[in-house]
Amino acid sequence: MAEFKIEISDDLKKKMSGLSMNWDSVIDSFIREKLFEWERIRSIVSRSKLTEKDALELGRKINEGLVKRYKNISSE
Amino acid sequence: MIIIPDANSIISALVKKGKALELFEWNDLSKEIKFLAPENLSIEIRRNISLIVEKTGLLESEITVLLNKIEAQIEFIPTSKFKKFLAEAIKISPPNDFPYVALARFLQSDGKNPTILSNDKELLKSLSSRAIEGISLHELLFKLKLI
Repeated sequence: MAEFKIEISDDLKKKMSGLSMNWDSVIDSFIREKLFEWERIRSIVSRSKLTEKDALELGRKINEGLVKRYKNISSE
Repeated sequence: MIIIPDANSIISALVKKGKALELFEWNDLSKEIKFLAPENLSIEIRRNISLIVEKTGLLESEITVLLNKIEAQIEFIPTSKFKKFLAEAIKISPPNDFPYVALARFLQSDGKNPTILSNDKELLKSLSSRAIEGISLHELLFKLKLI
């Protein structure tokens, strides 16, 4: 097992002290879960055919719809 | 740091090997950026989901997973909060970007210092003369020492 030191706020430490928990295991699970989630996300995006140019065009199209909504709201 | 991502910044996260996804991944772990956006942005992105599916070649269910993950980091601000800044924003910003400017103005009035994240050069150029900060994805990643 590797050792990994972290710093936490006094406030958090106080709250943790009130719970009987194996914090090494909690933190290990948290990090694993986060990394797994993002691995999955990166794996999906790695198959994307979207280009930066497409993203700019899509962004502009979305903005057009957004503007319509807020123009209506503004004139209410 | 308060960042208002525009539609392009969010959609760019779906580009293969794009840098926008790295930003959202880094922030999900570090929580250093507070992303705020107009509430209707999420609705408009979802309204264009079939086009996003077509352009990415991904499944709708996969796009939903990606958008949920990204949007979970964004606080969508109710229109009622920045409605009174819409009229001014219409006058001072490029026509298709005023909702972001209105939100920025509202946050400024609340003593905050937001920055609009966009890769749209036209918007960034116009912001510099309106006392609203704008930043491109590349500049932001550089500032955060992520590139």
